[in-house]
Amino acid sequence: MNVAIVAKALRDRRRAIIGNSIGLVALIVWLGVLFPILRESDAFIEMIERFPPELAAVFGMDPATFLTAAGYLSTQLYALFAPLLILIFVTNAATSDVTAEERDGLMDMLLSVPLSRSRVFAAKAGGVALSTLVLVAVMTGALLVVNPVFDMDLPVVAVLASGAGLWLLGILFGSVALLAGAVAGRTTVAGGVTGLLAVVAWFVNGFAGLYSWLEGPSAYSPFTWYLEPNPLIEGFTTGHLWLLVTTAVIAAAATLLFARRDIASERVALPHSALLRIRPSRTRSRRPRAAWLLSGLFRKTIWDRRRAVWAWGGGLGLLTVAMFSAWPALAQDADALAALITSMPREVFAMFGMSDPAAIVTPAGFVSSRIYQTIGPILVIMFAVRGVSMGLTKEESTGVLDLVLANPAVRAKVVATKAAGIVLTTSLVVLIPTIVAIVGDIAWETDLGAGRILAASAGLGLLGLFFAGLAMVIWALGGASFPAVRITAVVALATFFLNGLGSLTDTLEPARVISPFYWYFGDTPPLAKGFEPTYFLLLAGSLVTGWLAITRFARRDIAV
Amino acid sequence: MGREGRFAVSRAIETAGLTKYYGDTAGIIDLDMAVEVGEVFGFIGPNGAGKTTTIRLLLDFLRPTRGSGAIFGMDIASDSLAIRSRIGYLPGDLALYPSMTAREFLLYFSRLRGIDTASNTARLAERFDLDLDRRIKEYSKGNRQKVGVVNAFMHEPEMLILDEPTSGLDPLMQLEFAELLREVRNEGRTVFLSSHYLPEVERVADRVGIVRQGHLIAVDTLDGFRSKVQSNLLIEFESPVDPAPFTAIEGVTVIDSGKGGTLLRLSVAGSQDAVMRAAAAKGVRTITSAEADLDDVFLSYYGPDDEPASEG
Repeated sequence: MNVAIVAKALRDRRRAIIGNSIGLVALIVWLGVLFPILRESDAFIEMIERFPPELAAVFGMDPATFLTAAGYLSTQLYALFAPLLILIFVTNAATSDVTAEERDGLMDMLLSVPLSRSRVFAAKAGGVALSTLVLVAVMTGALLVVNPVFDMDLPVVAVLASGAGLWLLGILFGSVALLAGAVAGRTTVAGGVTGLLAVVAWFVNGFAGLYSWLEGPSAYSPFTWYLEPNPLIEGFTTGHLWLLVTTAVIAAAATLLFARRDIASERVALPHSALLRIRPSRTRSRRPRAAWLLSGLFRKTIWDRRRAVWAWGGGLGLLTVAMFSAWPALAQDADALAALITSMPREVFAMFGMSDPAAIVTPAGFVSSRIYQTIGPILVIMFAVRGVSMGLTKEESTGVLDLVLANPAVRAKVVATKAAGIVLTTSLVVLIPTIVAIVGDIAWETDLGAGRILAASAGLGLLGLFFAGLAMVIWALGGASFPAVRITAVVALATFFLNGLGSLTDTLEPARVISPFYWYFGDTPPLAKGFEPTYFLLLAGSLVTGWLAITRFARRDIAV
Repeated sequence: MGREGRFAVSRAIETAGLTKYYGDTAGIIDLDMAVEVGEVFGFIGPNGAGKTTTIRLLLDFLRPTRGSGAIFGMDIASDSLAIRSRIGYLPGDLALYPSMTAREFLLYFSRLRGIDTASNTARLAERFDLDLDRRIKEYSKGNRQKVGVVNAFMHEPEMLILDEPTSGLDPLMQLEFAELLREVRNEGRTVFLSSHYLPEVERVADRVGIVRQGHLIAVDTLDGFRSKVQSNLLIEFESPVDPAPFTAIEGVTVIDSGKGGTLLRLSVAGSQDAVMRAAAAKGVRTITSAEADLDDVFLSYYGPDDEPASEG
C-alpha cells in the first residue's frame, strides 16, 4: 500500500469526512435525546405493537425489538440513513479518485512513475476504504458516547459490530464502483451501476416481507447480510463474513481488470461534441448562426442530463410505487394509528417537515410525506441545483464557457438557454413520479385526483427551480470561484428546518413565512390541497432570481 | 514474455511491427523504429497521426493490438516498471491536481518515485521562472506546462519521453527548453520528442521520424532531410537545347521546356553543381532559382489532405 497515495486520498476527502461526520453525530445525539421520550410514551408503544409488520420491514423495523435501543437505532440509523450517507460517500470517493482521474489524464501522470498498476489501484482502493473507515469510526465513537448518557445499554461489542457491518457494506459497494469503473472507465457508468445495484439490493431486502417472491433473492442481498440478524443485538455474525468475502472478491477482480486493459483509451471527446455534431440543414442555414448555436446549446443541456433525468425521476417513481403499494396495509389500522400518532412527540415529525402528524394516516398525507415533503424535495432540489453547477459554474471554472461565449451569441441568451434546459430537465424529473402517482391513484383507489397530484407536482418542480434560481444568482453575483452551490445547500437546509421546527415554537413561528418550504407545504400535505396561491411566490422567486442572474452575469468578468 | 532477447540493450527504443487499433480506428500501424542512446529523436506528424498512441504504448498505458517494443532492451509490456524507473514523461494532454500547489504536486510525485528531488526541483523552477507556491488552478497554461516539464526532468531520468513539450511556453522559455534538451543530450541521455510543430523539432533533434495516418513514412537526420530539399531552376539558353543530358543527372527532373527549346524548368534535389556545369557548356542567358525550405519537405510528407495545424 503506497502511503503517499493513501494520505492524498484522505486529504482530498477531508471536507466530505468532516461534513458527513457532523451530520451523523448530530443525528445520533438527536436520536439519543428522543429515545427516552419515545420509550416512555404509552401511545407510541401501542402504535408500535399494532404497526403492520410487512410495512415495518420496508423501513427496516422490527416491531418486536423497536422499543429497545437496538431495534430503535437499527430502524432510525442503520437501516436507511447511515447506509445511504456512507454509500453516497464511498461511491463518490471511488469514482473521483480512480475513474475521474483516469478520464482527466491524471492516471497517465501517476502511472508514469515506477509503480505497478495494481499497486496504484490497490492504494487508491485502500484510500477509499480508509476514509470510509474514518467516517464510520467517528459515528461509532459518537454512539459509544451517547449510549450510556441516554441509558441505551447497548453492549460495546454490538456497537462495534454494527459499525463494522456498515463499513463493510460501504466498501462492498465501493468495490462495485471500482469494478464498474475498471470495466467501463467512465464515472457515469461507475456511479450509475453502483447506485442501481444498491437500490436493488436495498429493495430486495426491505420488500421481502411484503412480496414472498423476493424472499429467495433477499438471502443474496448485501443489505440482508448487513441487517439480519441485527448486529446491535447479535454482535458479529456470518453476515460480516459474507460482506468481507464478497468485497475482497470484487476488489480483486477490479484490480486485475484495471491492470490488464488500456488506460483512458477512449478518444478524448471535445466538451461540446454534441454541439459540433449539429450541422445546419438546408432550411436552417438561412437562419442566423446564433440561433442554431443556442438551439444546439439547449439540446446539449438536455442531452448531457438524459441519464440523470431517468435515474433521478426513475428513483422518485419507484419510491412513489412503494408508497402507494404500502398504503393498503397501513390503511387497515388507520384509525388506531391516527390516535397514536397525535400523541407522539411532534418534534419527530417536525424534523421531517410534517407539522401535522395526523395527516400521515390519510393517503394524501402518507404519499406526500415522502414524495412531496422529504425525499422528493431533497432530490428535486439537488437535481435542479446540480444543473446549475454542471451547466454554469463548472463550465465557467473549466473554461468551457469561454469556448461557448467565443461564438457570436449574446451572453444573456446563452445563460437563459442553459436556464431553460434546467427548467425542462427538472420538469421531466418531476413528471415521472407524477405519472406514476396518477396511475397509482387509480390502481390503489386512493381518490387523490389527478388535479391535486398535478398541483402538488407543480409546487415540487417550482421549489426545485426556486433553489436553482438562487444558486444561479449567487453564482452570477459572486463569480467563478464563489461557492454558490454550497451556499444554496445551506440555505435550503436552514429554511427546511425553519419551516418544520418553526411550527413548534412561538418564537420561530413568524419566521416561517420566509421559508420556501412553508410556501410549498406549510402545515398541509401538498396532495391535500390544490394549486396554492403561495406557489406563485415560488414561481416569482424563480423568475426574479433567474432574471437577476442572467442580467448580472452579462455584465461581469468571466472566469475571474 | 520472453521477447527481451530480440531487442538490443544498446538501443534506447526499438519497436517491431508495433500496432494499435481502437476498434476499427487505427492508432499506429506496423511501427518499426529504432532510437539510439544519447540522441534527440523528433517524432513528427499532423494531429491524429499516431504520435500520442505510440508514446502511450511505450509507457504501457495501452496494450498493442500486435507487435512489440523495447526500451533499453526491456520489453515495454513485461518490464514496464523497470522502464518507468528510468524515464521522465511529459504528456501532451497534461493533467495536474488543480487544488495542489506546484510544490505539493512535485513533492507528491517524487515521493511516489521514492527519490528526493528537492534540489533539482528548485533549480529547474528557478531556470524556468516558476513560482512553486501557488495553486495549480491559478496558473496560466504556460506555467502549468512548466510544472509538467519540471516533473519530467526532476529525477534526472536516462530517457525523456516528451509529447508536444513546448506547447504553451513563450518563445524565451522555448529557447530555454531547447537548451535544456541539448544539455541532456550532451550528458548522454536520450530524448524522444513528439511534435507537430516543426521549429521545435528542427531546433534540437538529431534525427526525425515522420508519421502520417498511423504509418512511419520517413526517418532521417535533419541533414538528410535538408539534402532532399528540392529547388526549382528556370534556365534560359542562348539557343534551343536537348533536355536529355539534364535528365541523366541524379536528382534532376525536367518539369517542362518551352520557347522552342530555349527554356528549361528543372526540379533539383540536393546539390545544383552538376546542373550548373551542364548548363554552362550550352550557353546560359539567365538562371532563376526558387529555393524550397525544410518546412516544405515535411509538408510534402504530410500530404495534401493533411494540413498540419499551426499550434496546439
